[in-house]
Amino acid sequence: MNCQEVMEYMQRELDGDLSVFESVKAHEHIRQCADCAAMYERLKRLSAELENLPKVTPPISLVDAILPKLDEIDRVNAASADAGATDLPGSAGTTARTSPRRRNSRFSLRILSGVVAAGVVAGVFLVMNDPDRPRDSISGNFAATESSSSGSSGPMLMMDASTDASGAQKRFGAAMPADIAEAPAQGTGADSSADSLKQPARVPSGDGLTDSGASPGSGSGTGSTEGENVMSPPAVLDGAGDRIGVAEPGERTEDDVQLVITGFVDQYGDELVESVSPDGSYTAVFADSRVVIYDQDGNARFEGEARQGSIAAMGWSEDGTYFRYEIRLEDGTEEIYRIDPAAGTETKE
Amino acid sequence: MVEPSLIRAAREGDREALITLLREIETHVYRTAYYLVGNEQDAMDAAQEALIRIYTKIGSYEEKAQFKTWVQRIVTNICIDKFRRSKPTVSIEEHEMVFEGKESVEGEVMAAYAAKDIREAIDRLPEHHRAVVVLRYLQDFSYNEIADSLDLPLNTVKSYLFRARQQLQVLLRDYQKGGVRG
Repeated sequence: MNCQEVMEYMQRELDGDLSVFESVKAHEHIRQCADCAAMYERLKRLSAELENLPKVTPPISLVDAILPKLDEIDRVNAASADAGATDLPGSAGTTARTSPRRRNSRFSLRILSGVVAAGVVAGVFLVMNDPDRPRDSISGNFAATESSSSGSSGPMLMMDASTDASGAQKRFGAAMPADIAEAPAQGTGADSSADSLKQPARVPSGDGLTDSGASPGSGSGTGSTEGENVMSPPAVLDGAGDRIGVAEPGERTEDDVQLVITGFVDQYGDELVESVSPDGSYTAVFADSRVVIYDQDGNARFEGEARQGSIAAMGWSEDGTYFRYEIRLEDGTEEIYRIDPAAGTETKE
Repeated sequence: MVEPSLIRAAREGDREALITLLREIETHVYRTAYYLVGNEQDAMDAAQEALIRIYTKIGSYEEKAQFKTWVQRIVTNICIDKFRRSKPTVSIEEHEMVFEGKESVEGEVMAAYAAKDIREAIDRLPEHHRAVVVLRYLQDFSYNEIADSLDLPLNTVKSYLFRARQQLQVLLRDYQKGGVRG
């Protein structure tokens, strides 16, 4: 037996992984080899010290500390199970967002509870991750969705949950201002939603995004509304006319950044928006004034700096390698930041 | 060892069972976090995050895996993510200077050194080596259980553990040679 083999035997012995025969062989060697004998002593001592490391315990009960959060999760889970709504059949972009993790994430839950509690209408949006998707298929899906939802005034709710559509209508239909509730049913998804938008001035329009260089010519340039481009109800307004969600069309841009803006603003101005990267490997969530990038398993991969101001736009590059977002400060100025999740960097542009 | 019936009840939506379950594992979760992130505050944050994740994901736990390795997988993943963000690798030289300064100035009690030296040495291991050591010594996991928790092949677990011990042994011998202990 050479010293290297003995080293492995010594290591395995520390873990109780050595047979009697192997142990005898190793010790034969150790008796004759001063180096190995010294190493054996050191390893044994190290292992004993590792075993004696303080068995630390939490200074306070962690479960007690998180109980309020758990209660909140339960509350919102109950609400979302109740309020589940239609998902778009065949819409890969949306489907990718409705994994169990997303429904359970505390951000989605918080938003949902805020929306329900405030009696604010929660319409959610379709994120178009694939700009090349033929329009017709989307319209077709919309028609199918509408007709399947019991034929009533049918607000097109696309919650981040997919249970039964009628439940959603019951819950949200009642609280929903009539003009918004009915709007989507009056025409095709695209047109009616555009009509119902009536976006207030502070909503980031194509102009704001053009400043960022991310979306040249969108909005005014194409001469069409955002609603038309997105082909879905991209935004729902609350009573005060604040923007709840805006989806920017999936246009190709100079640097191939596709901006998709989605999200809510509840009556407290608490914001949350999120965006899934085109390949689905990352989800960016803006909450508590900062952007956090999650991977597919729900692990936070990167946490951005806290920002003053409101989120005005966000989107992934086409290849999903970086993420950009725009912050609108109180004085109306805008700042654009870029996050590279793989490198773990966030830079101001 | 957590009762299988408790786990089953928790999985089936018994909230009380789930809370009880979390109470039973919180110390284990915290202990791993503490030795992986190296300080109490971050360990509290990471452990709470892990418990919340266990709470929301209990439905996805499948009984063919051991519950304790499933739990440790969640907490180690969270901690390793935290490392990536907040702990850029420190070069050995820098680290050593900090050591010497502290030790000569503070003149701490000899007895306290053993655990402290070992903890600092563990802190210097690459994250997966450190995770293997923590699961082996703080959770008493077998090679197989470590492999399940960290999603690593068995042989990788062994080689990480052996290399980690060899490295720790060298580090600690250096401290001793410096006249610090023993």
